[in-house]
Amino acid sequence: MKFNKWTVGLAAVGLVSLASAAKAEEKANMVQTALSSTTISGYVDTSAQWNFGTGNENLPPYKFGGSSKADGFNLNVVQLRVERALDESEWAAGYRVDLWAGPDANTLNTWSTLADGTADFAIRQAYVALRTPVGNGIDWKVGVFDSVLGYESVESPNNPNFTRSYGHSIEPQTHTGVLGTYQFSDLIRASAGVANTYGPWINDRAWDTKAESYKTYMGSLALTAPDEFGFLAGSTLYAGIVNGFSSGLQENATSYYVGATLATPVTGLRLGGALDVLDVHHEGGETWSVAGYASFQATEKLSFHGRAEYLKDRATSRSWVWTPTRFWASLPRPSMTCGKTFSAVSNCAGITPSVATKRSGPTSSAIPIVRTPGCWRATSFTSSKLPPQSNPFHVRGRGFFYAHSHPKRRWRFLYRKNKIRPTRSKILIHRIPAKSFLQGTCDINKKWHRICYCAEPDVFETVSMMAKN
Amino acid sequence: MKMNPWTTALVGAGLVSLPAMAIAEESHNAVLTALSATTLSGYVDTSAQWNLGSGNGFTPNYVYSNGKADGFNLNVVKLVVERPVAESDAWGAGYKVDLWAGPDANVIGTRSVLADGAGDFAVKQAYVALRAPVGNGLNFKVGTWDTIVGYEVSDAPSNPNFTRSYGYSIEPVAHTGVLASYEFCSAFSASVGVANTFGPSINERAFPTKAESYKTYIGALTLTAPEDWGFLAGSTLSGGVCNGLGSGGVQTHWYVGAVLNTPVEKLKVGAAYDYSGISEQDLGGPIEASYANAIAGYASFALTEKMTLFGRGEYTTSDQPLFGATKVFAATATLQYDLWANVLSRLEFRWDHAADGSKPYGDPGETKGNSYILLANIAYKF
Repeated sequence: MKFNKWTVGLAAVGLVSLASAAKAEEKANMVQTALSSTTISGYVDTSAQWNFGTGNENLPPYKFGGSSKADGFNLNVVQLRVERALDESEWAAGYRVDLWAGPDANTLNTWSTLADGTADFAIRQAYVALRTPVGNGIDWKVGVFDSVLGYESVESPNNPNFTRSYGHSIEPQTHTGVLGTYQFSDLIRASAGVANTYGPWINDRAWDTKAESYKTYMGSLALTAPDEFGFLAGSTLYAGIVNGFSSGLQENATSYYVGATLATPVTGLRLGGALDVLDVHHEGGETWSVAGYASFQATEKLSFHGRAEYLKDRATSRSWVWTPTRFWASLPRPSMTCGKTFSAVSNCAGITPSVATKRSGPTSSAIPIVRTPGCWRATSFTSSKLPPQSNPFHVRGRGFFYAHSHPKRRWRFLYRKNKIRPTRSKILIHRIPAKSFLQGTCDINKKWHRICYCAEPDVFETVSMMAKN
Repeated sequence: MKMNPWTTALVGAGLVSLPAMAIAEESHNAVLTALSATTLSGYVDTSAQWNLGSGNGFTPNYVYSNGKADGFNLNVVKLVVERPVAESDAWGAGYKVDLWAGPDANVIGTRSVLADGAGDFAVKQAYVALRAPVGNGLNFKVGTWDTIVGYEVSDAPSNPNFTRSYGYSIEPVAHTGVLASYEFCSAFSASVGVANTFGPSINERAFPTKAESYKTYIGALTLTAPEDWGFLAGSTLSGGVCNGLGSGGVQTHWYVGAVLNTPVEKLKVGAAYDYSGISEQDLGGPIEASYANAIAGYASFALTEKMTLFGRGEYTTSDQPLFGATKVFAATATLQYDLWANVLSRLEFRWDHAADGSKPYGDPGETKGNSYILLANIAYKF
């Protein structure tokens, strides 16, 4: 066991017992798990990126890109996977937990409806895997799982190119629900599932008043060419659909996907294609993307991967992208128009701040903000500020939160304590970027008000609520 | 190396090079650590919940209920890394780290005073375990540890019912400090501790000007019926108290609970009483006295080797509508069936009733005096 000199010195004069250190083994030892077959795996993903030309303000808005990655060295993400895969038994059970740490964890957007920030941490997947012995066996995922659509994976190291395609950028990503998969034969496999929403927020709910019955449905079908198909053997054709409520879009959406991978007669050359369509209901325009892929294995260790893609978005703009040699035409930033009217909606469960509840935060300052399905809120105001003011919380992109000022519920205790009876509350923005805005006021005598906001898509804006006497 | 079928297909077609994955070993390998006997365990806890009746704006707000209505839920993923103290080691030492990830991690409230948000992650416990060879052995926990009072625990898979009781909802959760436990004999054990605050925030301090001297004190006793008590053998009676600065003032919590075996072999019963109160005090401003208490009865009956029925009835009162009403009655029935190995699978029905005549539930608006919940809970324990 190695000790530094100072520790050895302390031990020599008897000031440090080093009981545990003295007993520590010289060699590394295995971690014991309660169950066999539990595995730990993952990856560390880094990059260095140069965006040619000075300035990086307006960049192609593909997923996991943006100005924060431009012109510098990047840690993208660290993935830690703990899992026990299904074995071959009839009533097999297992689990998978994929944890992300790092900048991309914030972009993954799987934070739960109770989280008030991402802090470089996210749950990518967390599900219980089950098998029921029906036919060839139906495999289930219960919990949070990756979407069934898409050519590319959320995991960058699994993709042919590092940067993500626009098709991947408009696909659903993560769902909370149940997914069943059935392998009819070596050639055909199908999946079907039901989830809360289009995703990706964990435990999100559809439409505030319809969550009980309104769910998201998904299905996919995969065909694999058999060995007798000659050079096409192993080629795949995949199609899928996801339909449900998107909290990010604040509208129902349907995503369609068709993709294929093709082996060719040329040794080392593989081709692929993908079509993604995003249909946002009750909105004009169209959003779709088509991409072609080619891969050539030059040597055992050297391979080339190319991707060309075309995107048409709802703003009727077009973008050509060729990776790795890239050309791109105008693709405007997402519209900064909120486009939604807001009104008072009383549909959020109350939290009563109390001296006796476990939900309470630290005593004096750090008042937690709690976001219930489609709902941001401060659980209480801090007592150290007059007039009472909530801790700041963060918004990003387009969306809404709820402001609540019911005097008989959550803020009652504080108001009584400080003899304050504010008559109105208002929403403040601490930092106002050029293209961000926030709408709405909250009357103390009413209940929940939905507050729309439009902020930069890649930057968290700070907001707090203040009671006005 | 395991890959999902789609990734496998991409690899098969050569469109994904996966150089790193291709090099990865095919066989599973053990993780190496600096110390032997380190173990990794935990669980993945999921549920699907239906609050009967349209709308879920106002639901019973027992702890961990928020945001769970009418949908599928990931509750929490727990990872435990620990090295238990060896029984044979007089000066034994070990540690335990409980990490929570997922929605419930935002609710447990153990984030430190330096954190600026919850972010779906929490340190539930993190302590060094030590043993001193005094008498039968004095065990210490130094760091952040679960509270020692209460019938139910933070880990849902360890509770007889999935939804938490109101008694649990008013109990302390976790403390940062030192806890000492001593087993006088197999029938009598005790724990005492000192911590920064009532909790659960890590590294929290009591009044800034008194933090040096003002701490939270906690103690508990457990009596276990000896073998010669007939059918009662193994039954336990526990009591505990915690006093310190909580989120709204100096708070005292009392707990007493019992688990009893019965002459019917497969039937066990239990009971718990919790009281939490704040006296009138001045903390830079007047704080009015307030209280909440809850009483609960538990029963479990093993129907078959794999099927067990759990029941809970409870009643809570408080001077403020802490749980939507000042008086709430609730009944919970849970059917657990162990269908898959290592998987906890159960169905639960819960009824909450506002016994003070108010109507704290419903949507839109508070229009109902009763709430009915039907849920399924699946958790994998590893």
